Amino acid sequence: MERILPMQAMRASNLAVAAAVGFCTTAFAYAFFRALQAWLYPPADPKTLLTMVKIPFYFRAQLSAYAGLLAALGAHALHARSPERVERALVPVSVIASLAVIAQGVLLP
Amino acid sequence: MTLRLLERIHGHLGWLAVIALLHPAIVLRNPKRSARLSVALTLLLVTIVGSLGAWLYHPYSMQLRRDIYLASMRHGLLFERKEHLAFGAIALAWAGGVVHLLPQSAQGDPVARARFVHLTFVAAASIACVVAVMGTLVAAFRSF
Repeated sequence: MERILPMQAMRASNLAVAAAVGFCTTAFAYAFFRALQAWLYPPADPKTLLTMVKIPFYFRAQLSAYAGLLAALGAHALHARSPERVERALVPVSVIASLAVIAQGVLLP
Repeated sequence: MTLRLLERIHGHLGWLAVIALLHPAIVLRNPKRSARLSVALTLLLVTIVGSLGAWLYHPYSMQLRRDIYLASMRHGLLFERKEHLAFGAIALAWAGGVVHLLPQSAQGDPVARARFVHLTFVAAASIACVVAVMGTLVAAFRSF
């Protein structure tokens, strides 16, 4: 069985929590950007479009991944200072991200 | 023809991914339980299905999107909903997966971590199930 030193486990835990916050933020950011886009820049009627130069889905995915990366960096720094507080916030973060994804998917396709 | 085949593969693997996501969602109710292999394979499958879907989105946008909207606005919007929800489901599955797969220290709040992993897999599995149903409906309506 693999033996893991406490310091290594702490670093891995820190990375895992930071990545988890990053992925949740990515999901939330995607929903947020889509909602923002629907509000500020309503898309043209798809029936009238013969072809598309840029595909918004890819752009939103990239942008939300970038937002997730920034959130992961922040979470990494916060988790190093107070792991308990960040880990207690994980459940609310995942609930908010899930609800945002569902609300956007249902209301703003 | 190739696109049609890839679309079928994407659909079948999508349903398999839903089933795969259900396993950790059920097993990890118990915070002491470990399901590393299951979680790793689930993440692999979900990522392959998502990547294939993302790759197919370009030909869909160029060849199929307008036709679907012209034939039925409802099906066109259903497809868009599916894409948004699928992106969220993949991100949530990865969020829970990394916490479960990487070694955890005794510091912090292990119970909160375990609850988070369970919750993210429940959310990802539920959303993925809805995505698979929507995808099947649209694929049955119009295909490459």
